[in-house]
Amino acid sequence: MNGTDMSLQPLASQPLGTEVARLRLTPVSRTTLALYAGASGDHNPMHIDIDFARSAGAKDVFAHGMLVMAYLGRLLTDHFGVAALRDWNARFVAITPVGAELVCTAVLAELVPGDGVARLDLAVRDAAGQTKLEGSARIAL
Amino acid sequence: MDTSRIGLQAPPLEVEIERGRLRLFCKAIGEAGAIHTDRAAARAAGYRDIVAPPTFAFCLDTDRADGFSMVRELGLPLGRLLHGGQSMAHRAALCAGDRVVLHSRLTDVHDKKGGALRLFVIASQVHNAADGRCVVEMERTLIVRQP
Repeated sequence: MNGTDMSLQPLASQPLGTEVARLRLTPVSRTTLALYAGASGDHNPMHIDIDFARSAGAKDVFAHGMLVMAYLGRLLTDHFGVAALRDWNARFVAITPVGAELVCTAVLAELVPGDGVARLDLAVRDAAGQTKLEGSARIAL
Repeated sequence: MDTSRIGLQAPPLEVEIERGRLRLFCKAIGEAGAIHTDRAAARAAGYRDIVAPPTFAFCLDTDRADGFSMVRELGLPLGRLLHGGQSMAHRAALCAGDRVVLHSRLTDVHDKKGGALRLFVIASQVHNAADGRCVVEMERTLIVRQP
């Protein structure tokens, strides 16, 4: 478990704009990409075979978008619980290269008591602050 | 642009969620939470068995070991393919031992950036095989860079 910030404050008691969860990952390694390819069943060689990636015009292999989204999933379910995650979405904004040091964040964007949910703005950024993924989630209050 | 394949459906795929595959998936994404890795802890928390992380549902399609059904069916070129976006809605937890059926359908094809990018939108539902209940709904957008 590297760095989930466990806040005990209920979502509904926090001001909008508060960062309610953060997860810092160890740098993305080739081993991680190989493990994720095997475990996910996504064997696309663009993620694990540098020769293939170069033949397709890329400089190197890069991370599966769904690996990065899985890190966001960890942030949400480790922090709020599996049952609280209603729905979420992600846009893959930029490619995540080997070595990227990713940080996942969730910011309280809206409380919708009528639906019993809080809406969070989600982001994954690298150490330089470049956004790799952005999205939103609805979490049961 | 050829939109004639909109509506294409993948054959329904029945999958039994294997505990070993779930453990490997958790290792790959660094998920060490007790309900995801320890059966006793999962049962103590009220689950049938270890609980799948939410994005595991996306991987059900590759259970047949020859890749993503729509990517294969549409002949999308892996070297020019990007995952543009993904949405997921969760109605119930997926656990090891569950039997589920995955349904997928191509719902849209359109171009962006003056035809430089072609987008394919695929909607999927995961149903519990025992009672037919929908447990996960997903939509993915795949982007193919046009040559």
